Amino acid sequence: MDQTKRPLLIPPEFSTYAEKHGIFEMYKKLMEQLIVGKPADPVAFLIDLLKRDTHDVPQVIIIGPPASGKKTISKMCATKLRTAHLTTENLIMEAETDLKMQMLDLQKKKQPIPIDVWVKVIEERIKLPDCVRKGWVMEGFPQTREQALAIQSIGIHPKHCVLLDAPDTVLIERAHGKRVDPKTGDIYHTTFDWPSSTEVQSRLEEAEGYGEDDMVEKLIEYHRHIDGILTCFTKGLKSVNADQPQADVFLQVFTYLCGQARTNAPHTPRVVLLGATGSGKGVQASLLATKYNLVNVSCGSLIKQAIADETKEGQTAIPYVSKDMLVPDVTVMQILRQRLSQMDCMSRGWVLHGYPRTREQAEGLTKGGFVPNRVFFLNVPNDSVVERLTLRATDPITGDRYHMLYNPPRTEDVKARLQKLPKDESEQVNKRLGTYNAYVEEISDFYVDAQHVNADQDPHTVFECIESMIVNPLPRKV
Amino acid sequence: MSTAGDVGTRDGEARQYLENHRVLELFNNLTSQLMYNRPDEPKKFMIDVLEKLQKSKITRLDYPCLFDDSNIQSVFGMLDPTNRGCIAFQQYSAALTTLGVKDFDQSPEGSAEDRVTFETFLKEARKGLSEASSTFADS
Repeated sequence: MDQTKRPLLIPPEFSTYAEKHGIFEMYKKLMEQLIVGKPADPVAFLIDLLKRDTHDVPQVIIIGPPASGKKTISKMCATKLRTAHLTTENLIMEAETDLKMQMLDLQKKKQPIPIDVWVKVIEERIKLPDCVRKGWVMEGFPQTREQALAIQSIGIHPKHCVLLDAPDTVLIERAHGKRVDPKTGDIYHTTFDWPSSTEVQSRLEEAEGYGEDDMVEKLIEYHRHIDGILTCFTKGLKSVNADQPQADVFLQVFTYLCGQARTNAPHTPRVVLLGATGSGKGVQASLLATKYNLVNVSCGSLIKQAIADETKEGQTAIPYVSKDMLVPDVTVMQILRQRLSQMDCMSRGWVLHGYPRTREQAEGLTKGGFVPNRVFFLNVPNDSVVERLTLRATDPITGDRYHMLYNPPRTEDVKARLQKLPKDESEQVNKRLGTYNAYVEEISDFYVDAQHVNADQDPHTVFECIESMIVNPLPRKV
Repeated sequence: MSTAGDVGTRDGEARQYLENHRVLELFNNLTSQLMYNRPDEPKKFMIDVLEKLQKSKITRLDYPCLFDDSNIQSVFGMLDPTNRGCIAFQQYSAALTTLGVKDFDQSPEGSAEDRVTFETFLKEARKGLSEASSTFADS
């Protein structure tokens, strides 16, 4: 039977717990290591792995054609992520003496280094404490499909693989201006990346083997192998256009490295949408609810429903609602708790909007055991909100809704009979905006993991943005 | 999907390994321990459980298991509300399956008369539970 189709008999509290501590990811990692290593005593092996406490370190491979800026970008990434930086050169230099001699010898004779030697060197290097504890960024390796398969078969699976890509003509041109600092090994460029210190400038040398003929040869070699390599890293591969300013390339690569791969771990989205009035919380919530089968929990309608059902909480809320005052936190929380602890919310997940409005309410929600795992702020400038709300109107005969700017009524007749909601008067809207803006700061202080979305766009663009952040794990903070 | 039988392929090898060392059962037990206890430091907790398992592998005693004798007793008590001191065979097998025991004695003492005593039940349950929690290759 398909494992994913098996009914999940996991109590809801456990899924919250497992999600918080990353239990499923940990299991996956452990199982992976077990299957690759096949130790004779799995229990001792697992204890050892767990004690090492290294499930979250970055493991990155950066590949690309010659002169695409692999070394510079990977060095920047390694520094920023505080990991070890592995290049083909420093792998050779840091290998054991006899292996190093052998490799240098082969390199001098311009012969390829055999795969098993590479594998041995890399395996030894990755076992060193700095790679184990902090992770690694490997650059320029593998160069062939065989090498890629060889390192995979000893259990080296990078979490991220970046391909720096640029047209050949650009690369050849760029290689022409490539300069190397012989002391540090850093790479500079005569036009694009000239060092600021004169000391460095004076000692720069032209890189060896980057003439036009050499480049053509290297590029042919590269193109022969790259497709084979890419088929080995279909998971977690990202191609970045390297024909851009260095900072832009780095930013793209780094954003990708901060993201985490999707996992098969069971995940029930518990979403809170926060935003000013008219920011599209309701629209987004219903889109999410339809697509992901979440329970759409609108705080306002819940209160109205409680009043209509004449429940105890509803009765307490009546005087406040009729006087247009905020219903006290205790009552709202009771109403919410009743809804959120129902089985459908527990199993399918929920999307809550219209609550919390203050930090106390947010704290209350967390204290009640309803910890959202995604919080979004829908940010819209005040002017747009006013424009969105005050200009909308409804046709009392057909029930159609119009907006004076974006969806104006077709005929004069319709226009004459349009009616506006009293809530949409600009005075009212401004009042609501004011209350929201007074509290937004303290709420965002409380939800540190919250994501800010620019909601002043087409609803479906906003939806896509929210969607991508719900489906993928939250990006890592560096 | 290939079965555990086809050794030779890497997939088969991995499956064989997991089966020989009862890794999947080990993980299942770990999960149920985690689910029940929900410790604040799951890693430390898992190390503790695994170490306990390692110790019991040598001593062949005290396997880390979610159920102890009092649980077995209360299960029996539920099935025997009138305190007759025995349960039917069907109840016996259903109870053991619920506890997670797989290969229990299909014809225990008294099964012919459909009267399984508490002692028999306790013995089988204990044996089965330690079997289920001793998740390592038989050496």
